[in-house]
Amino acid sequence: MVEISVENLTKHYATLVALDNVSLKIGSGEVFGLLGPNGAGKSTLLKILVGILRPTSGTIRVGEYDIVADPEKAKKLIGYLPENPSLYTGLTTLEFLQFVGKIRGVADDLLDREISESLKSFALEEKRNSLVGSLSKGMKQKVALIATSLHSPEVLVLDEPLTALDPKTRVSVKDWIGGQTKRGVTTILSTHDLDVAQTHAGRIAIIDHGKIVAVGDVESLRRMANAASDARLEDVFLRLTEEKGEEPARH
Amino acid sequence: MRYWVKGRFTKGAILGLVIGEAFSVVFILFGSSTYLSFSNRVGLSTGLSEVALTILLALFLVGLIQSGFNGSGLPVSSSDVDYVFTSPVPPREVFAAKVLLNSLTTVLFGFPPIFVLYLRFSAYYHTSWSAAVLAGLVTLVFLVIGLLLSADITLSLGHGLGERKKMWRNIFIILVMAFSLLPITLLIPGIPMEVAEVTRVLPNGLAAAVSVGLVSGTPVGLAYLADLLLLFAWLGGVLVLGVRMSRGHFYDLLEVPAATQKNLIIPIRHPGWTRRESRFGRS
Repeated sequence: MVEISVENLTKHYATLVALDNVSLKIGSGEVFGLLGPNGAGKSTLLKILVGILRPTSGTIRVGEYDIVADPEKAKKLIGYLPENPSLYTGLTTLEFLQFVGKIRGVADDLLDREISESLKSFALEEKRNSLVGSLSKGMKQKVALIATSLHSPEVLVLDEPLTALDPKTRVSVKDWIGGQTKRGVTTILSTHDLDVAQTHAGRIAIIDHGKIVAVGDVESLRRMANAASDARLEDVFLRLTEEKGEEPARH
Repeated sequence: MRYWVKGRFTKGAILGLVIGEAFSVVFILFGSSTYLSFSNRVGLSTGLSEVALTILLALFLVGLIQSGFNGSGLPVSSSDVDYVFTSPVPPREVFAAKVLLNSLTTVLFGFPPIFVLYLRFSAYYHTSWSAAVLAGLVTLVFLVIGLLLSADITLSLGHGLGERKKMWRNIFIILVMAFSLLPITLLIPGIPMEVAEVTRVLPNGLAAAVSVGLVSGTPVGLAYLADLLLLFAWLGGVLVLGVRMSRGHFYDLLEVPAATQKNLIIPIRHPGWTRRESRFGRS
């Protein structure tokens, strides 16, 4: 069980402030939703968390490891599903999953078993020897999901896992998310799908223009937005982000 | 490595490369035979063969340096970003694997025409085919040096290197390029042959001196061994530099510019950013 701690995280791109002094604490086993409009900074936050980008200042700790000071140890704990994952299209499904499993340190015998079971559960067994490039978008997303959890991570970082998927695949992905959260994996879920956020996330952070606008469970977000007790999350989200409609900080 | 190689070489790509190899071998045979025939008629010495090879290798080196400044010295795909750089693989291993992958394609597809060139030279100078093989290997060492230098340049492009160090880097590269290409001035009448000697401290000059010396049957002396040692010192130097810079975990290489900065001119100062990642601003 792993906690995530984000402290005073700031990220600049030249004159643009992508993240402005963001602080969060995500408890062990918690499912944490990250909502925000396009360009709010959600993906930037997640990419710093998984070690692709370096923060301008501030720290992120995954368990006891700082992602900048101890990236290899922190990355061992994380399973990352990128937004629109880029799979290696020249490899077969099996080869791709073997590659990802090996670089994530999964033992060979365990890896073979995990891949077989996962392909079966996602009904992809017949695509085992097909080139990844020949798979449909939905199948690629399923393969990416399998790759995310091959090494049994203690933290899942899911960036827009349902974007542009057909309804059947969306159900599969939602079921997978539900299964992972039941295992007690600490999960950060960045999504535009408010139903998914409301269903799976215990707490939700709303981010806008690089700043955390509000954090809490749905009830407390309603109170912060001065919304009715039965107000939809969509209305709460719109109220909170409209109230904070300000220009991004520039230096 | 195995998966990267498999992913890179589709059947169509391999077929195209084989056809290209065949053409380059034929071209090298024709070109080298013409050159040797000409040099035989006008009584040119091995010295000029060495200068010709120095210039040829210099063009490779300049091309690799340019690739480095374009961000192609250490090519990183979006798949690498999503899967390799989010995995607990130590950055020096990623650096080594990337350079090895580039070196592998260079060796696989550079060696046959290079070997044919030296075979032709060794036939002309009546030396053994083993001399041609050794000469080819020395030239391949030069190409690996060039690839490592290109990778080092790409790694140095980000914010991690201070302005002062970038200035010294630029001065160093300009000097390497200028001295590498200096032998071209021999085409100007009156320029002394000694001008070509300045390249004897650079990888292209060293590789040319050792390779031509091998195929022409020049006796091995101290100067020859010094050239070989210096060539391997270059190899060690660029390798160590690359491993040290890769400790920065490639953050600068993976940096994504803000999509809202419409006027940001990427290719000049930070080449390769547009190829790296999806654009910021999606979520």
